[in-house]
Amino acid sequence: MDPILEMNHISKSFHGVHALDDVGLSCRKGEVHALVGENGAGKSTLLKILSGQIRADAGEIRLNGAAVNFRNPKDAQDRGIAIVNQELKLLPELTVAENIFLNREPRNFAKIIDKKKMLEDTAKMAAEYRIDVDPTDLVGDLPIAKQQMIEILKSLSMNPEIIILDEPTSSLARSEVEKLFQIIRDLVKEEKSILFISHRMEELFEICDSATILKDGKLVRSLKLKDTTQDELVSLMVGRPLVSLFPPKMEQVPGEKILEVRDLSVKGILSDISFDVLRGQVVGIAGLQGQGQTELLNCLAGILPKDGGHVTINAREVSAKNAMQGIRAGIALIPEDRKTQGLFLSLSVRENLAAASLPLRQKAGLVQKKRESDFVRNYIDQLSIKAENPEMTVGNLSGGNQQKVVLGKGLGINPRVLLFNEPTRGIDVGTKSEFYKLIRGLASQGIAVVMYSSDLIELCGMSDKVIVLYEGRLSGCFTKDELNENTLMQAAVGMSSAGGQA
Amino acid sequence: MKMSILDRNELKKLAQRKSQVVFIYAFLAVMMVVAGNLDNSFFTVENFQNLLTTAFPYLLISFAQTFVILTGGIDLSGGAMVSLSSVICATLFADRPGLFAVTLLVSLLSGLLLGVVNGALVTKGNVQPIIVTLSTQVIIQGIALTVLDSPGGMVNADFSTAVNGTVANLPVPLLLGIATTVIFWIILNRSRFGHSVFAIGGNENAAYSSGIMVDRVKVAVYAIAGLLSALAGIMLAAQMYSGDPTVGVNLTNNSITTAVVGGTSLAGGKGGLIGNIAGVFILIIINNILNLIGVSSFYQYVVQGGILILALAISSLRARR
Repeated sequence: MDPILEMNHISKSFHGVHALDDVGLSCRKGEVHALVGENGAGKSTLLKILSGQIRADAGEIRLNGAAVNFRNPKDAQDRGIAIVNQELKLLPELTVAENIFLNREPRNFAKIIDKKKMLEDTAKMAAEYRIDVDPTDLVGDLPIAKQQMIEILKSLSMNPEIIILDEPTSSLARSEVEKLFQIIRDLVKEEKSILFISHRMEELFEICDSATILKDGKLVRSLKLKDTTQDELVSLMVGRPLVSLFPPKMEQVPGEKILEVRDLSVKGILSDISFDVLRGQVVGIAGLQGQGQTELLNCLAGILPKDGGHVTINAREVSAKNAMQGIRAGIALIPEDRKTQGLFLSLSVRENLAAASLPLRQKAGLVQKKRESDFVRNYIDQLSIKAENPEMTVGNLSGGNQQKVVLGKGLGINPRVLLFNEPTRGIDVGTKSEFYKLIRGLASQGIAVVMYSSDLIELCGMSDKVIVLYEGRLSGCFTKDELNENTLMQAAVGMSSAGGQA
Repeated sequence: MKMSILDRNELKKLAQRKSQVVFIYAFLAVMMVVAGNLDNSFFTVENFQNLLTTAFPYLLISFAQTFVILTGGIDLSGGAMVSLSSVICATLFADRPGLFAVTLLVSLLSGLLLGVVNGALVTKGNVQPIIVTLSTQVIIQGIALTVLDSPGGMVNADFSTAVNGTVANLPVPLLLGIATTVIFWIILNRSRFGHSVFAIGGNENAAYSSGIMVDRVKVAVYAIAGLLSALAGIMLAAQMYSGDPTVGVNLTNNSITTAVVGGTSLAGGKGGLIGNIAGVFILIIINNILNLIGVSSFYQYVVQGGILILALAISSLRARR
């Protein structure tokens, strides 16, 4: 059967850097085609070209064999291509229905929007895809996972032939991923084609038929997934066989207590959280979405003031009431969302790296440029941040490199405690493994590391100990010998009560 | 599933979302009671006719500003456009009553075209709205002073009488005010164009991805703002039977104040038109009260500035939420 979609010899440069170099892919009707590659490999760029959001420098797109030319997103939409972008593009101040039908609102004879029909159609669609949502809710009031599903509904409402899903699962819990996959299977039955990006290998092998692999903006190859294995796919992505994702855990007996948390409470959010981090340890936090993990980290960092309990670092009580005091006490937080909480996207790598620790390199209130540039160069080398030069705008770096800049900014304060919130979200496999090595290295240097991740494999692979939160309370504590995904999941849904005082 | 246009559930949500609008109308009610206590003649038909006549031009320019602010921009040139259209209206073909329709048309077109220029500079020129309109404001003010360097000229008497008169015992400004509000409410809330305005202010990138022609909508918004400003200038000229090249000087400030007081967020993407009506009347009644208790008109500026700061503070508190 002829492919419904062909992209041939696509090239695109940004500021003289090749983002895509002679890349192509093809997809048949009713096929789920994966686009895989490390961050910065050019996947999103390719899909943005296909959806008309940016224009290619060279190459052609063919739909059902006929060449097409998309000048803007509307052109692509009109030809049956819908995209769900990695970063959500919903409007928080509009309702669910208004978002779904934006610019395509049903209208009456006088071109006035038929609100009733819009609400009914939305409710009908939501019911059809079994998504529980009120069409009149403001999108901004809904949790991220639901917003993601609404974005998907929006793309489906255009009745497209080709649906592009750019990392749709990164903010979804497993049960929601299941729901999404059911939708995808339904769409396949209707002979729709789907382009799918995900960093989760299991998901690709579960839902996709074939894959195109990109590396550094070049095509590696396209293949059928039933002819390959996860390991082979990963090694094609990173261009070398991947030995092991996780570095070895701490061998020796843990050292003295560095961080001690006792009965930490925040009214209505956290109650009586107690745990220790010993020298050399990485302590993980597990839990379903929204059980107080982010709040616990923010509270330790001083961003969220505590209502009760004690935090001591090296046996000295710390009482940080804001982020500044947290930094002074030697606590660095690598936040969940690097784009809104971790970086100044429009500033340079240098300015970002230096931002949290400016007072350490100043004299008479003025920043000493020489010391700053030494400091910046040091971290660019140490973390192997891939930037052309320190003055490059952070927003132009790939996700993995951006995350390294966030880490470098935190390390700049010479922290004694390092808190990670989802350290590897939206980062490719190769960079992930680099990150794990970095985190392990920092722990062995004596920095107390606490990390929350929704990825249980990552938690099990990295942590020497994991505490589990359920409704703001500790519902379990597991040492590395007891760690496996099942026990963590049981504690996360509040089933077990293992542990307690950790 | 039964779903009327406004069922109970939706009404409740609406009240929550539009809490600032509800609040501002409550505040207006309080101001009216205060004014009534200070002045026995406040609650009279004549006074209300007066208030309505004064309010209409303010309302027009307030709507103009709201459209621009909703896209995330701002129009600092509105007041100058009011002045320009006012002097055109009072001078062009002043001795040829038969050509007054042309005069009106030129006044309106001046606003429309200058609005398009603002929009083009913002979109094609990629200059920030505040810079664009700050510059065009100076230019437009200059043109207005060139046309007429001091208050004067003549506005067609028939037109002035008609605009200031009544139809079926209802003051014309009231009828025009209701018509304008209904038309622009429908444009903003029940047309694709209106939804695009909210979308652009909320997230321009997302709006573009949804297939909205962002530049086109923005140019249209600045054009509408220009048109409404010009209409305000015509109304003011008709009220005074003459033109005034500085009549709009304070109106830019007023338009921002009333838009923000009315519940529109300066960040864009959030707000509406209904609160503006209360905003306009609050401003007018406060001035009315200050006049009644004999406060100098200079202090009235201080009070107006205070209200603007208060409105901005509320707006930013809401944005942070």
